[in-house]
Amino acid sequence: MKPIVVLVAGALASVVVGRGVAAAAIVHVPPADAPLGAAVELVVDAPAETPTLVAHVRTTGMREFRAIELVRRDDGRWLTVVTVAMPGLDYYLAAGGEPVFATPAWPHTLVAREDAETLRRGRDDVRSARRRSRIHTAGEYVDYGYHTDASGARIADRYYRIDADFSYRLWAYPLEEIRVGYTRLLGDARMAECPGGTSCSEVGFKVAGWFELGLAAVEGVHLDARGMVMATAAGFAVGGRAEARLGTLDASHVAVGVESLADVGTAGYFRLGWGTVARTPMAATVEVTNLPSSTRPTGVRFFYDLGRELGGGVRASVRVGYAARTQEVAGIAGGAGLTVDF
Amino acid sequence: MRTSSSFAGVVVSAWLALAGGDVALADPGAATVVAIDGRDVYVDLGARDGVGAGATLELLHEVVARDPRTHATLRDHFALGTLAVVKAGDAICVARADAELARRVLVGDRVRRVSPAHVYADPWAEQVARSTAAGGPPVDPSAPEPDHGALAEAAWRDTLGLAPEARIARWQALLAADPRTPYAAAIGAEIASLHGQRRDRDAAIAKAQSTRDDDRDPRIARLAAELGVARWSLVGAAIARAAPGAPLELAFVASQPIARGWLYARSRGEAGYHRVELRRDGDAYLRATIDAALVRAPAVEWYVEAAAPGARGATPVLGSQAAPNAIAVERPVVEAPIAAGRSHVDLSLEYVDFDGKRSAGFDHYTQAEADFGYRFLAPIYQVRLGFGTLSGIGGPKAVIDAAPTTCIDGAGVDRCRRVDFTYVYSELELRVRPNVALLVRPQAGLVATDTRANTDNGRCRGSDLDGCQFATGIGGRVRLRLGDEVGTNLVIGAAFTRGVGTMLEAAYHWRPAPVVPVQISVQVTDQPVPEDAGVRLIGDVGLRELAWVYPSLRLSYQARDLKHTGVSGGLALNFDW
Repeated sequence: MKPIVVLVAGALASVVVGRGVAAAAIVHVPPADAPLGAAVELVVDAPAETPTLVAHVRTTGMREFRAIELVRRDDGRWLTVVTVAMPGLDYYLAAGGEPVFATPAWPHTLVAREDAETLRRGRDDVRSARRRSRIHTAGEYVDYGYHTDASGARIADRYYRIDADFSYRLWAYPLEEIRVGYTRLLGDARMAECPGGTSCSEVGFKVAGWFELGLAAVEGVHLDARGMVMATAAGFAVGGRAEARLGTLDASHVAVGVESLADVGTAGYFRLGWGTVARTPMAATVEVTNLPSSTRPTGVRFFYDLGRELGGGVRASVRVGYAARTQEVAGIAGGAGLTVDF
Repeated sequence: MRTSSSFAGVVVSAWLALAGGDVALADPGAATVVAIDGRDVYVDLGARDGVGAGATLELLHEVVARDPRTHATLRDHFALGTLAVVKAGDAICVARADAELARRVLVGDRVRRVSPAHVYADPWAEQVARSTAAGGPPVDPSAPEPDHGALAEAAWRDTLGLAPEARIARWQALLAADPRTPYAAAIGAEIASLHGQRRDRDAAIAKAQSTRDDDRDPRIARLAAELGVARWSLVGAAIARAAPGAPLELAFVASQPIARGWLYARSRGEAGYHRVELRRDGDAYLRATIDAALVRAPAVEWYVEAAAPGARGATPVLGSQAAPNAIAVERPVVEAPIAAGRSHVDLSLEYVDFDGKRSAGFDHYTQAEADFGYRFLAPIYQVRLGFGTLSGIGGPKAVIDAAPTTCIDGAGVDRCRRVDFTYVYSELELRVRPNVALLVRPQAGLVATDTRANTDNGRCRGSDLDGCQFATGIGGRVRLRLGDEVGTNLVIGAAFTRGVGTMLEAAYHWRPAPVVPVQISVQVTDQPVPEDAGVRLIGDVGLRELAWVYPSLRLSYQARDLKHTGVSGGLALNFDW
């Protein structure tokens, strides 16, 4: 402790008289708005010599008050800063131990006002049944049938695809979701598709890793952007996928997207999904694609997805479809998927 | 006539004395106690009444009596005691009563001067008077001397029954008409007395009209103003610097009593001042302590306000809110104690196989790293130091795929080479924002390349150095992490080492369960030798049952093309404390 000695040399008689100080006027106007988590000032108009001003605060629903002494901002104003948590803040003010605004028995309540982002997060929380993580796997077999080459040989035109991914709902808008996954896509090869003129039996890739960001600047309008790296028959390659979607993926929505997989091909699609049957989401998709090789003629696909909620965040789905590349080459497609939310 | 004039002058003198020139003897009601503060008694007598410091006043109480014969009401006075004047203004003085008398005095009591009257000249007023006289109409020395006594008597009679303002005007007219009157001093005192009575009347009216029962202080303030008292002057010294985190006790000496005082203090930058009431220590000392929590860099600011005895308002007496005193506070020089949860050790071992043939293949490597990190939090969030080795073999995938057992191309040249890279690194983690971190890792080491075919792994670490090439491997790694360090985050990064290769990576980390940290990474790399790039998909799963250590398992699947794929794995052990 370091003492300071100060001489207060007062001239005589400037100070005098006065028998007691009348109770000073203490005025407090409660804040009109209390955003959740924001710092809120409790301001009291009171003279300098007012007894010690203390704000007694508690989160609504709690039992005990916490005392915070107000500090002097200027000649006639005192304040303290509090943070409002859900569902609100109860408080009363005391001067010299005597309540001057509200009372312990009847405190004033500031109802916390959630901001738009918090409210949106709450809605998303309800939509996802409070499950923010998802593991999703899907397999699909696409058979266009057989193509007859110039020599008269029948060449299969088919491929399969496996996707496995994990996604986490961040709800850090506009970033809604982040997804990381693996894709394997292999199809029967034709001689012309083999790199360097060597013989090969497969096209596509065995290893592709990707990251996807689920963006939604406006609630209900989504844009999923995916970057992929893969090791195709030609070596390392980069691909991508983008999907614009109106509505919720697991419920009614329309979506349009495109996926490019380097020398493996490109696909564009339009999907209509609906959740009009309880626990049974459905979707129909039309797709234009040249998978599994970018050198093949463009084909069209139509497929129908039918899911079923099994409870506990588990959903199984099946896919059936029809694929046609030319008038001669057409076939069926089918697949299945499993989604686990937790 | 001469005799008559002399007689008249004596009579007028007596009347003037009765009117106020000598209040103590003729009219005890002409002076009144107007306020009381403890032992200080305010009386409406001043220098204009011949009262100054050192004068003695007698305090009188009034008694109202009724004549039983005539039923006439009489007002008489009796003495209570004497007061000593300690200070006086023009029309107001402060007299000190002893303790016993102070308990009996009341506002409204009469007072009379018992000590001789003194003349207190105002030099400035005298100068003005002289200049006025010099500039006035010339006096004819041959003119006959007026009858001063008659003029004064006429004026006195004129004033009877008039209001003080009219009386003042009449006396001023007499002074103008008869500037050489010998009664000028007495008339001046009478005028001053009338002024005082008028002020008292106005004050009484204001008091009567006021609805406040505490309406005393404004009057006191006015009285003090009439006394010409200056505001408190301050002499003080302050601490220039202080150690952080220690309370500061301030002591004050007051030369005059104060009723209450407050010390206001805040750490510089705070929204408002914390108030501490000064506590009395002996007769003249006041003390207060600035709480240790407020004593922090760069400075603590403070000022003092005090209220005079009986006053309602406090006024700044040492500094002010707008211009507070400041005590510079030193920055802490003692390093903060080692905090829990800031130390981290990573031990990792990983085998990466791109062609699935393990040791028989020509595209695989093993990497081991050990590092220690400490989180300083600021200004650099974390510093990590580490040591690592990367040992493997690699070459063009086309050659490896074409000659999977020899790695010899069409020209008969062995295109694969073994690489040993031993390196050290330091990594700095900077927090751009709370959830955005930039990790920069420079690294350097020795790259040993074995150019001979079909040799054993690690030959260049032994004595047979034929065909071994040594070079310095300088490189680095930069990563950007978005999100919580130990929770959900996304890391994007790039690394390069000369002679070893390049790596691009993106990793997503989260904790699906509190004790299960999971990370999925995608890497693009040409390691262990700068040839063809491949893609790696990596999954890490940890089990954090204990707070200070957790193991993790790594599985990876990688490929450089459709045929060139492999599955690998690794282990890591992580310590936190």
